[in-house]
Amino acid sequence: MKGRTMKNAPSPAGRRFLSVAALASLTALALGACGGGDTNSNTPIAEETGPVEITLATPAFTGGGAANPYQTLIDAFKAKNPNITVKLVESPADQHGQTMRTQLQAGNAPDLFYVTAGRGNNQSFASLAEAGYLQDLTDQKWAADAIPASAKNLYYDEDKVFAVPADLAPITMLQNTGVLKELGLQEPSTLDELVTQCKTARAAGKSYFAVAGTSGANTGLQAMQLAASLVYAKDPQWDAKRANKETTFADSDWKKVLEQILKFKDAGCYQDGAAGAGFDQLFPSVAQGKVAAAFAPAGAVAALKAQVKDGSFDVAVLPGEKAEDSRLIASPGNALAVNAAGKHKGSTLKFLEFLAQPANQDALAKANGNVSITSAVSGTVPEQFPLLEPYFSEPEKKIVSQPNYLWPNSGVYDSLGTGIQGLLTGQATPDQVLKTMDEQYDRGA
Amino acid sequence: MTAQLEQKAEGARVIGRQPRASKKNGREGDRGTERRFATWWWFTPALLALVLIHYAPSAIGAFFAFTNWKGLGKWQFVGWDNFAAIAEGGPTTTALINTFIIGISFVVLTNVLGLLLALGLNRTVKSRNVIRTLIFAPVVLSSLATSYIWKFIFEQGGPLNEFLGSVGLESLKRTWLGDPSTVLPAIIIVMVWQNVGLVMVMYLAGLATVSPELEEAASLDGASLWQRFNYVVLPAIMPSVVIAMTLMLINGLRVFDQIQALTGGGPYGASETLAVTIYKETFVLGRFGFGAALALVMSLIIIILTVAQRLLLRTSSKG
Repeated sequence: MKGRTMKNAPSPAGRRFLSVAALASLTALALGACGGGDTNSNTPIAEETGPVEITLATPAFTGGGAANPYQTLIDAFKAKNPNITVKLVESPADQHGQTMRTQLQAGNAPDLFYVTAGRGNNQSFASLAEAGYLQDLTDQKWAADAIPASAKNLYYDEDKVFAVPADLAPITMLQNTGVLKELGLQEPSTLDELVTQCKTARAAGKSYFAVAGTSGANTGLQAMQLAASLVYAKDPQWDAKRANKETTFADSDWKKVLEQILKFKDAGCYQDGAAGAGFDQLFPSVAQGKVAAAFAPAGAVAALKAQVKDGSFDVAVLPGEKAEDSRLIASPGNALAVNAAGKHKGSTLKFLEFLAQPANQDALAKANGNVSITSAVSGTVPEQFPLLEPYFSEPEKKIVSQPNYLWPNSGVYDSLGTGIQGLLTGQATPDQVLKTMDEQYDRGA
Repeated sequence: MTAQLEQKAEGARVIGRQPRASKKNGREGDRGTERRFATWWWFTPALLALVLIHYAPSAIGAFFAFTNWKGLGKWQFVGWDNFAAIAEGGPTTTALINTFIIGISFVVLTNVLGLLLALGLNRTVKSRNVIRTLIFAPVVLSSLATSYIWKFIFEQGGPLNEFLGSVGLESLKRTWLGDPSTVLPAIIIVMVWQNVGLVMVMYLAGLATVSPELEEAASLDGASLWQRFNYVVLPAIMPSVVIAMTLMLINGLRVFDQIQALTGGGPYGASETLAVTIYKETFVLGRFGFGAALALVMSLIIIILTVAQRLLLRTSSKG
């Protein structure tokens, strides 16, 4: 090799070119050099008798300082299977999906990890299964048994099963009942009643709702609750029609959903500065009694009760235009999937089978503050949510699937969430938001 | 004619060179070759590491700009489709405009304020070392951490609105980060606050090279304050001006941390820059191919603007 010396060093112009080229390469991409591929292994799954350590990854649990709900079940499993140690790893909730994707591609993913049903967000199992990263569970009878008939559309991908549901998180209004009592407000039975109550709350110097305008996930939850009554009560098969291109967001009752948000805004239902509020401001606002309610999964009430001992909190359902139109969104969306490239699949499947047993699912749901799948299937009313009784007593009629699980990509829900922020600031109209949602939907999976 | 020109050019280069030792031959020449070989030998591991860790992933990333990869699974070549989608405009145009607004405002404000602070704290102020340290302190803090503090300050019920209310300026209270008309100025304030100390230090270093005698001489000759700055100080600190403006332009155009922490690009895309759009398209929406194409475009813009700025500053310093 012959070295370059100062004698044949590049001219100033040449050096500039090299600098520019180097800068181009340096700043071109912060993206990793990741390649896709089929990593699904067909290695036979063997029973492991020696000492084994498997890893379970979940989003960080924020249940008022309590331990991760899986820990109790891990301990119970260890007592029955002393040779298998389950190591629990938590990742920040908003980064869990991306962390799993990166680890799966890098080949260092955990043996078992949290996913959500369908394909509507970056934690959904379907795109991971298509890429060959998930273990096919179709032959495991216990896995199929764990999926309720009403949720088959969320879990079956071309007659194959790749994930097992863990529990069910109803999407609700988290209420400070002390504030409602102070304002003299009863649970509203229609949207018009709710708008009137917003004005009462405003006159008393409070607001009915706290929303996190900067969090698309939170504004989206509100829209989906409105859609439960305004869209899905009338047409439970709306998503199937959208998938078959028989309707669009722009030409459907989804427009009513966004118009209702504008009505809420005009009636002063939201707290001052809602458009710029962050997720971190929601629960403190409810806990401190500055607002009457916030939109959140029902399980959050347990954390709030644990943190604010002297408060009184409950969950309720956002009403419809008419009382009989009110619907609850509740899907067994929380699930677990097995890494196809995991080294200890025998032990991992054994642990997942243990978790899928009804008694253990009940225990997990209780620790999570959620509803167990067995309760939902049997129509048993969860004791911690008395206001949800009318819905769980008639689940087939009054409970609808979480819509975004059935959407083809995360862009649709993202457009809905950010679009609502645009409605709150006056930057967007319902038609613009719905058009963007349709564009994202039509991009496909 | 061509040969003559080349000869002249070669002559000019020879004149410009440093005097060399006598022509190497025999053992001396061998020693030189050995030295060169040794230089490369020691240099190669670092070069390899640099290529493998830095350039190769970037080049592979750039390759994906021509695919429809979604971050998982298989992909297909789509040629220039991703670049065509960028050229169609829409959100990327807003992001591009915001990037320019933030980048240019950031360069101007950090440099003007940094220079003023440096001039003010250069020699005369008694407690200048303490003040310099206080102004420089935000530079050493994490930009994410400081952004979250500023987010709290800008909140509806935050200290800024509380202060405005307490001094009777109720009408000025607003949702600073949730209002499309105030969100960009708010972000620029945070960025300038954090970086002005760094620019000040660069200018202080430049000012240290200006001879006080020269300034005194100009003063005795009757030069005004502005004339002393323009004809004595500014030419001397021109290297600092070039460095400070180049670095701030690059930092301003590629800003990500502060925006992600303060607004996430909102409200409704009003503060989205190219870097934030790249992140969102790539990691939130799973459009890795499109995100990679956008990253290439952003890099190209930064390179063009940086080179243009350097040429402009070189011309003005010669002028």
